[in-house]
Amino acid sequence: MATETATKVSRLVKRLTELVGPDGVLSSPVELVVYECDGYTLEKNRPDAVVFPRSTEQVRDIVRLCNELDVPFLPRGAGTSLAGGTVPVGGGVVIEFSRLNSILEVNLRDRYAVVQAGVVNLWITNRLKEHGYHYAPDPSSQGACTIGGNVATNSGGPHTLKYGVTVNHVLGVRAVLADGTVVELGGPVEDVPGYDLTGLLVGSEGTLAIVTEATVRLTRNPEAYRTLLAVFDSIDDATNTISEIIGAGIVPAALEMMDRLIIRAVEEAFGFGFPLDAEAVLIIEVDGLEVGLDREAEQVTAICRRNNCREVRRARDDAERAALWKSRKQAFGAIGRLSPSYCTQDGVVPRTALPHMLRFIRGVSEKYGIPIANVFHAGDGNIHPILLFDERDSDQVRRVLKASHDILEECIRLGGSVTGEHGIGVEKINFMPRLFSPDDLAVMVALKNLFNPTGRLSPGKMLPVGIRCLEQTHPGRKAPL
Amino acid sequence: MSSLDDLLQTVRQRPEIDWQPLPEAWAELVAATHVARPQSVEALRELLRAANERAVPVFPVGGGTQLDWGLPAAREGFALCTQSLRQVIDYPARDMTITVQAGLTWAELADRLATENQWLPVDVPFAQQATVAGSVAANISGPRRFGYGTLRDYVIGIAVVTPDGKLARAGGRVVKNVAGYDLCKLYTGSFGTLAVIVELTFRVRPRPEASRLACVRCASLAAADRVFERLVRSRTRPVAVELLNHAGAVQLAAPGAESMQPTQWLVFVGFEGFGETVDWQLKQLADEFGGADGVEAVEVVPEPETASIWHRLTERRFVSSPVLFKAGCRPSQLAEFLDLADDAALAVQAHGATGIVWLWPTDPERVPGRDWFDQIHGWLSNRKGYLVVKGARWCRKEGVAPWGGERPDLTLMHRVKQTYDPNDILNPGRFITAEGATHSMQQS
Repeated sequence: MATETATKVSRLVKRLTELVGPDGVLSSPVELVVYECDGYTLEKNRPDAVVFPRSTEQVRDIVRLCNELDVPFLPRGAGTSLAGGTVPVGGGVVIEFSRLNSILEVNLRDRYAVVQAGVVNLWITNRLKEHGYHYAPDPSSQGACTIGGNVATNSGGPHTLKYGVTVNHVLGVRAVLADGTVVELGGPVEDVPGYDLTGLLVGSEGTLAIVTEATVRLTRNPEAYRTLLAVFDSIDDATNTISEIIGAGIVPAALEMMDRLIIRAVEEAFGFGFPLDAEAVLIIEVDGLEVGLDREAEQVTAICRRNNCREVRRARDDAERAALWKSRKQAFGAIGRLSPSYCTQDGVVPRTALPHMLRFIRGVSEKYGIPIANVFHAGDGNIHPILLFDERDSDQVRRVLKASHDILEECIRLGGSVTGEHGIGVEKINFMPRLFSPDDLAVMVALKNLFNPTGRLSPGKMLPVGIRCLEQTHPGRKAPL
Repeated sequence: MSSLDDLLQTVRQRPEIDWQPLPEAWAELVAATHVARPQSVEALRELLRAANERAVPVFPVGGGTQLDWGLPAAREGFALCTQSLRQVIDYPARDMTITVQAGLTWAELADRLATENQWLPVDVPFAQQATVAGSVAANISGPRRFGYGTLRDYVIGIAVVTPDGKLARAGGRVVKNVAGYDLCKLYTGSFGTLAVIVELTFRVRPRPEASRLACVRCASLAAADRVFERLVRSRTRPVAVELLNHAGAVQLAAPGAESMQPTQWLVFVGFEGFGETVDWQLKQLADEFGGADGVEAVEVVPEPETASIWHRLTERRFVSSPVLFKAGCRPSQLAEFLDLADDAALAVQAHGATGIVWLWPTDPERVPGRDWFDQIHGWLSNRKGYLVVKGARWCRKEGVAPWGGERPDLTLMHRVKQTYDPNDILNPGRFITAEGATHSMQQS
């Protein structure tokens, strides 16, 4: 049996090598370890091979080969995803996109760029620096994550509050379907007649097709920013401020919250000058034309003060603004200073429910004796509670799982969702029947069966159909976007 | 007995379904003699299931303002109108979302949002009749799409009834959510061919404090094109950039239209936001473009006329023309396209910054025919653009496919239709059709 498998794998590797050359295939166990999982490490599985195509045509040929040999396959960008979307469930071939990394076209007059799926998110904005444009979705991992991965998970980020998430900025895609057919959907021309299949593929977590190129919308840079840091002595005051800002009809470019635990870790790591005795800080950015911006910033400041804000600081210059955002976007890298292990969640609640939700999380923390830090996209109601523990202590592990579960259940009870931007992947597949009825899921499954009838493409993701129920025994150690 | 008669006998006596003769204005557009108005989602499900079992065509209708898209159906069925489902289900204003039933009119939605100083910034014509679901199904948009996006950017949750009577939801009621496939995108713009929308959740926005328009008078199309190119780099940030030719300006009764030379073009530029921000932009626009080559004047539309101009920019192109053409190209191709397509007898209104162009005949004696269509359509198709037609009778007379020619991505769309409506009962033949069947996207 083992020999038979080994023969199959060596045949697969040989055929893949014929397609992409010897420097385009990895197959030794040591090399494959990296591709066992992504930022979600609870479930791991080693692929049989990793292949690095250089063109859409090579992706097509790889997909056809996998079908011929009856081997599962899935795409992988930078592996920064947080819900196990790139775990090769069932083994098979990981199609790695780092060599499909060209920005093919930039058209400022028509405000779009065509990029290959392996292009790193931030490269687009860097390319546009001289021209006053940027690519708006800005996940915290934007220095590493790829556009292909962003499309697969419909990535968010701090500034999506005002500018929208990935799907609002993807105009078209070139994709390889599960049977190896290459399709072009949408494009720079708006309102192309027919179904919005581009919009459908965005966020489908690689289960419908493999996107190899994307046409993305370019956004003009705002003329000016006001970036504020509001310091609070109580979490309730901070969350009430968030609700009041949104309720007042102000749409900040970003509205982020960090609590005391995170502030401490971030301050130790970056030394920005956060007040260590504060219970919570809000980072509030308004942007737009210079004219009128001070009024908007003053409205925000007044709301903060009404809610007992201790102090509102304003970033004095671009450097200070950049430092503040660096602290926020790399906050998760600093968690290691607090705890040997951690696990984060990605729930969403209506924004008015944030004060309740944060109190609930505090209650969960006390109930299970697990410290929970919070750093999240407050303006969207997208929470990222981080549960701190020691994975060597099995009792702590058990309590962390229960606490996570309670938090997500509460998000559902409040009319929210169990994922705002990280995706369902393998991690939250068991929550799908809690969010959707059997009929809702049947409609989604029908679509999956149409696009991916053999199930060889990204098996075991997103839809809990024909999938074993995953009993969680160990929380993942992972960093959120 | 025909399947339709059988169906009618079975379900017509149900008190929760109101049957009426089809309004005359809808005849020829939907192949039906009656319209059913279910009084509840349950009744709608039952009706759809019964039609599906008998393979009787169903023509979903909202306010009936956009029925002229696509070909009239070949098979007779009944119109299914959602107008009786018009509740606001949930409006947590401070969360900036609203959940409503399908048949609420756009005006009712807008009025409700206005009570909280909010709005959904999509320009829907005939808002007193148009329903929210009909607007989503037809993917209606207008001038503000440049600044605010389209309905696909606002629908965050949806409930539909599938042909077999299932109630299926996707998305949710929170503004950020990536659980499951985003079927909201699939149903938006699907013209009722996949399922009947019964409920929608929208994200909404605060109403801007001020809304103003300026009009840039250009000596020629070339001058207007230069204005577009510079507007992309302007310090101002317009929410709408609308281009009108002479006939279009006359149709919209734009200020000074009657005294325009036929070669002149108008560019309306819209600004919204804080009062001082809008005022600054109006002045800045005049500074940047006043005296530019080919620009004859930059005039601010007087405040009392502003709302009326917005309204005309939203609606006028849909009023009383036998046919309306919608073209799409990249904004940088606009001038070349218009140079080719322009005709003194055609009114032109372009959402200039997005490359979408509307053309319609102003003289019933001078309606363009198939030769004109084929030439324009061919030019656009060669450049990955498109030309589609609102005007079922015109299409039939001229033998023109209303959705343009064959495209490679249609195969996949046919299969989506086949998957969700295997008996081909929802708007059969009018938009995307089931795989293998004759379909209206194909050039006839």
